[in-house]
Formats: sequence, structure tokens, C-alpha cells
Amino acid sequence: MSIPLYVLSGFLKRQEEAVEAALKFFLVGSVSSAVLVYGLSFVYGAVRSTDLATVAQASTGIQPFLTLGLLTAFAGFAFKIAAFPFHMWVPDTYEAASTPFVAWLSVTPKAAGFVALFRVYLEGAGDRAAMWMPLAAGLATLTIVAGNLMALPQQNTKRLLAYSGIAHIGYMLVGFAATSASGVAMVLFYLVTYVFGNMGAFLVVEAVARSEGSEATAAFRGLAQRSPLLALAMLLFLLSLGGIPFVAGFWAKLYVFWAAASAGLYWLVLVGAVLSVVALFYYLVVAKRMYIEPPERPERVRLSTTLALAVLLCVAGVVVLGVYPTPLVMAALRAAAPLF
Amino acid sequence: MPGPDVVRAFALEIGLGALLVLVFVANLCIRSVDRRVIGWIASWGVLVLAVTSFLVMPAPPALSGMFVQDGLAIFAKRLFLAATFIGLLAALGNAHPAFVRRAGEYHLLILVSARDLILLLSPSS
Repeated sequence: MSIPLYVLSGFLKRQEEAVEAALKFFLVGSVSSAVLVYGLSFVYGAVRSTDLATVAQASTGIQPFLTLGLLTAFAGFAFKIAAFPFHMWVPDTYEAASTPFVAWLSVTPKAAGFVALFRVYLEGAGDRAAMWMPLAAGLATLTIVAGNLMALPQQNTKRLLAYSGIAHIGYMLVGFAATSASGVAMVLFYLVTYVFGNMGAFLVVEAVARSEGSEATAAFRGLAQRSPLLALAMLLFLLSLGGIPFVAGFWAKLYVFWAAASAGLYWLVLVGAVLSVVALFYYLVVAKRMYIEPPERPERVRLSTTLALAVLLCVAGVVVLGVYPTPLVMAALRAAAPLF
Repeated sequence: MPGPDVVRAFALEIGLGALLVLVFVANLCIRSVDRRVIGWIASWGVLVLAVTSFLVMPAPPALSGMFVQDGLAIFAKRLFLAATFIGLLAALGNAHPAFVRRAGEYHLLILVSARDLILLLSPSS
């Protein structure tokens, strides 16, 4: 699964940074795969089966090898979803790889990783799933805090979005920590809003970088005067990622917090809410550059029709889900219900 | 021969596999230096699959219960295909020389990753 991703990360093979990022991604990814397989081998040794339903049934009693195996496998999955402290491949890979690929990489493997987590740790576990609550809540806290704090000083928009993406993984882990059907459903909803918000932001970065030859936040200076629609699109994506009403990301954060509060994790909700305010700071730095600072040159940012269409699709997703999230929330609840 | 239930459970994976073969063959056949037309084939193919995914219904477990096509898998696969379509669409206008020359390779790799990742959404073993 990961090998094509390593190759794609180093696709621009004449660029030193791309090769370095691909190598880093490959090494970290290989170690994480090894850790994952090592953990699963303990699980198989303890349960004598690879069937997930059997594993879920077996996790009733105290079985040190099974618990050790599941914990080790959890670390492997944490690498895959880029949770702290297994996130180190993310900023370098995102910075060096081609941006449309990074936009895709920033969402799809993580979505697959979360679904795999649900299947291994929550499906069929019933009330026993709550045993993973402290671990998930702790990892969520660390990931939210670290992702947001590391995003603060970033001057490169791709690195900024990479660290903010790590923080968003933390918010999704808040939903996972609820260990309930509603928690899983809200993570699914979060993933959909994240696809539109995060991919959209990366695609605007691609448009600006093609025009300016730079991915620095300074390249966004005066974008609102040069290309008002593109700046508006970026503002919507940033507001969605920041969780401002009434764009999609607001409901996503609200619902995962609601799921966590329903499970009694009030302290985790508090941490998430406080760090959401911190996140607004670095999102609004980019917004300030676009809307308040003067442009360095007057020309419009030109973008290809297909890129414009992709940005438009993301804007539509962010706005429609911000105004009317109910059908998707209901669909996510229906999808998650059979797990418990 | 796999039964109709197995084919139904694997509909999206089979579709993505067929698209992979198509892109691979197109990459072999196209002689032009600018191979970005392959991106259009991949993008349209993924769009068709994304639309088709709304017709896919939960199916009984296949491969002795190791593969499930339940509500969670279908939801995630729809999300996945939509994200892949947006990613492919955005890359169509990429005029980087390496990308223009090796567009076939790029799209093939994206589709291989997408196929592997959507398989990861359905295991029960």
C-alpha cells in the first residue's frame, strides 16, 4: 500500500529535497509497518486467529500478550495516521512533494488508517472498546497540542498545513477516544470536511506557488486585491480548518467534541477547544497576508481550468456542509452504527 | 469462478483494477512526449467509479468472511474516490516538465495506491 506513496513523494527526483523526503517517508513508513506487523504477530500468538471478531471477543480477560500486541499495533497505526510523536515524516514530505499529490496524501491514507483503527479496536468490542479510551485520549491531547504549537512559527504554507494536519488528526482521535458509534460517525464526518478544507487549502497553495514561485506565507501578500475569488476560497478553507461557524469544519469540531463530552471526556473537550483558538492564530496570519498586506505585484494569479474546478469543488463542499450538514451526519451515523 | 455475491462485494475494487489496466495500456500506447491525456482517462474513470459507488449496497462478507462491504466501508470508499478525483483533477494542469513526461507513471502510482487503500477499508481479518 505504502510503496507507491514513497515513489510519488520522490516523483520530482531531480530535486534533492524530494529525494530526501521520500527516503525519510520510506524509512519511517518501513519501521511503522514493521512495528505494526510485530504487534499483530503478538495478537495472533495470543488469540490463534487473524479474525478481528475473534480478537474482539478475546480481549475480555487480562491477556498480557494480546494487550501488548494491540498496543504495539496501535503505535504502528499512529505512524500511518501521523499522530504525535510518530509524525516526523509529514512536514518534510509535504514540503518537498508535488502539491496536488500532497493534497491527496494529506487526507486519503489517514482516512484509511482511521477506518483500520475502527475495525481493529472498536468493531464488535462493545463495552470493552472503552479500554482504549485513556490511550486514545492521551494521544489525542499530545497530537493536538504538538501539532498546533509546531504550526505557530511556520513561514512555509505547506509546512504550516502539515503541522495543522497533525493537529487535525488529534481532533479526529478525540472522536475515536469516545469509543462510541457517535464518536466513530463524527470522525467520518470530520474526515469528509477535512477532505474539502485541507485539499482546498493545498490547491490554493499550488495556484499561488505556480504564480509566485514560492510557498512562503509571504507569497500570499495582497492576494485579495490580485485574485479576490481565490483569496476568498482560501479564507473559507482556513476558516473551515479553524472551526469557525458556519463552514464545514465548525460542525466537524463541534460534533467530535460533543461525542467526547457524551463519553465524559470533558477535559479533552476543553483542551481541544483551547487549542482551536491557538490554531486560529496561524490560520489568520495567512488571512492577514491576503487581506491586509499590500501586494508585491498587481497581476492576477493565473490557474488552470482544472485546478480552478478542483478548488471550486472544495469550496462547494465546505460551504454546503457548513450550511446543511444533517444528511451527511445521518449517513455517517448509519455507517458507524453496526460497529457496536 | 467467483459467484455474483463476490463480484458485487468487490465491484469498486474491480472497477479500479480495470481502470489501472486501462491507464497502463494507454501509457504504453501513447507516443507523445506530453502524456497528460492519461490524467484525463484516470480522472474520468475515478469520477465514474465515485458516482457508481452511490449504487453500491452493503454485501455479504466475501472470501470466507475476510472481506466486508458494510456501511462503513462504502462510506469511506465514497469519500476516498471523491478525494482521489479532486486530487487527479487538480494535477491535470500541472506543467512541470517531469510531470508532463511521466504523467502515465504518476497516475498509475496514484491509482495503485488508491486501490490498495480502498482494500484496507474492508478487511475483517
